[in-house]
Amino acid sequence: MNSEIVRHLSPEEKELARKRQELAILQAELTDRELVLANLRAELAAFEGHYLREVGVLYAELDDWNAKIAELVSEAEGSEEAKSAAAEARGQAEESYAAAHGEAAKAADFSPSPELKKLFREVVKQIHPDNASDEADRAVRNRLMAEANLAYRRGGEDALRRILEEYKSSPESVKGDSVGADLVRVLRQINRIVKRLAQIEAEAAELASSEIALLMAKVETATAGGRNLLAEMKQDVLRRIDLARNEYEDQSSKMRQR
Amino acid sequence: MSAGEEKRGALVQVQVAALTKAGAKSLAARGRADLRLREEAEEWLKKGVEFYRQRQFDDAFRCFEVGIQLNSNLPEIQFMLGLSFDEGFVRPRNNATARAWYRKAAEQGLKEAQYNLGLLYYGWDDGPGLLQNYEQAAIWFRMAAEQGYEKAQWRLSFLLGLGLVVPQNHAEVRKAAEQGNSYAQRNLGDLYRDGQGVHQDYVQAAFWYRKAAEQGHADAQLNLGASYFYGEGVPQDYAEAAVWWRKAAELGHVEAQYTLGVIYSAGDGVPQDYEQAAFWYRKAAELGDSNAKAALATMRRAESTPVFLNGGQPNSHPHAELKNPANTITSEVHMKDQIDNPQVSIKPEEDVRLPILEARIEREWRQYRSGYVKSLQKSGQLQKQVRATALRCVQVLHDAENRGLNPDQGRELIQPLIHPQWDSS
Repeated sequence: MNSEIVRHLSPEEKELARKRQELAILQAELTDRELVLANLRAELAAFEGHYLREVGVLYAELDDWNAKIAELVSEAEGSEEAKSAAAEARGQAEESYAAAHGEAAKAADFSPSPELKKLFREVVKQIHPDNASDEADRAVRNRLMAEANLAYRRGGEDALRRILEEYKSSPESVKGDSVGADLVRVLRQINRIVKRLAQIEAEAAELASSEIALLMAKVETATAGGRNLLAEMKQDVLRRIDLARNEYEDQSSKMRQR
Repeated sequence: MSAGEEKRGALVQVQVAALTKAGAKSLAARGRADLRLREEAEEWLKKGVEFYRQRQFDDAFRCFEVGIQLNSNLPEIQFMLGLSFDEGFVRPRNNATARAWYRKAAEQGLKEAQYNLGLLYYGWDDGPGLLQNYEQAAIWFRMAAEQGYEKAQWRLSFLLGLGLVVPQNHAEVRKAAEQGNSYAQRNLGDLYRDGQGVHQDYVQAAFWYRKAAEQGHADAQLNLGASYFYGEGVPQDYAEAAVWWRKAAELGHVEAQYTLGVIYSAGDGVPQDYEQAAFWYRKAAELGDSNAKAALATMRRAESTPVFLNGGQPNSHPHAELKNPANTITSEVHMKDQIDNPQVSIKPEEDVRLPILEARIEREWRQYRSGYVKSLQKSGQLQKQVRATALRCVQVLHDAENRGLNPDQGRELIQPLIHPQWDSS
């Protein structure tokens, strides 16, 4: 038996190995959770864009007619009350217009390919800021991660590949240190990942209870039941626009008669 | 641009972005709130329909009223409110209010509302605010029919077949005819016979007349009889013509009764039988047919006229001359009278064979100038003009026949007789 070549691990080394294992498990979980969150965000943004383009613009149109009616009334009555009501209605119409035609409305539909999902998972695994070895590395990772999130949202596979390449070739990714320093680094990483996981849960919960998510859930449930809820909502608002337009025309013809 | 301005610009942009975000959120919230109201309205609708089924009409009506407050656009609630006023189960019946509610739902594509709105315009019911309008009825029946609502298709076929509305296209009448509506079948037969909107095709005309005739449609039986009589689209067969005319006559069709009288006195397709002729003339006369009355008067006179007063002809019953029309109409001077003064009443002797001739000449007319004939028919002038011209034309046709000309050449000869009248009016 050649017992002396068996290297006994120091308690510090044992601890480091244990913590490294723990870290690996947490890193895998983090990757999964980040992916889930990114998908949720992208899906919601896509649905929001779709909803704003389909229904939101109609609400904006409806608000515009209502503002026009309020302005007619204010013109006819001239009272302070009518004036402020008209101003409020106009403000509402402008807000609705900005929302319905803003950046959020431009969000394209989100349907990531398996290849894109795989690439993004790889990016998260490699680049996640909470896996950083030091602050300089962390800064680079932060920047790349933000770019990766955007690229994923837009379905840019090439962009994701470039980001991976860039990180691998950057000098910050080179590691290697003493056992003590490694242990401290690993512990700090574990700490960060646990915090980030909690953040992810909080953000996912907030997203899931947002108005747009609740609306999306409703629409999806209806779709499963064979109903096109968005189309129904659209019809509904269109009909109200018709009524408002008629009312406006009635009012303005009354005004002309006076 | 200075750095400060740039910064301020960026800040404004951030604010706008936040506002947009908030606006998008409020738009989403609004959508959800509207959906909730809609769902509640649907609940009230469900409750109301349940009450309606249990004949608790007051409760039902209240539910619909609440529902329409929550969402004024639900077509089913609009329909039920329309029904409330249409049937008058809660409020007094009111066609106008029912119409307004039905229209809202119908415009949203609810086929039941389209059908009921059509029925209101169809106007077969009474009640305040009734507004009968077949064209409007057809519009809504058409919409419901396009959604596969069979009852609406049937009503539409009926309106089309009776000629109460103008068909949108030939295919529409054909569809109704193919679905077995005898009115539409007769109508389609007419279109083929007259070449209106289709190539004139007597075979098709006879085909559709037969379809309708076999369903007991008296008008179609009359027309199918005419097809056999003239050999249009079927081999000429007087006996078969008589069979169909008899069917129509037995169904009480005045024209068919009179025509049957004519063929019995002429012996065309039936054994000559003055008793039978008189029987059918009397039937038609009882229903107010003036031609039949005149024919009866003539028969009576002929019977009471001694043979020696009738130019010494032993068999001078007026109807016996029918087989040779040239005998009936011989005097050019007399004919001139008729043309120059169409108002002059036509002597019963000549009247007897008129319907068949009229039909024939009328068809010639339609073939060339269907639009003009239509307007004449509407103004009621057709009969007078047709009679005068018909007599003249028949004479010319027979002259042509005697001279050995074929029917086409004869037809050409009568053109000058027909055209001046058309062009003068």
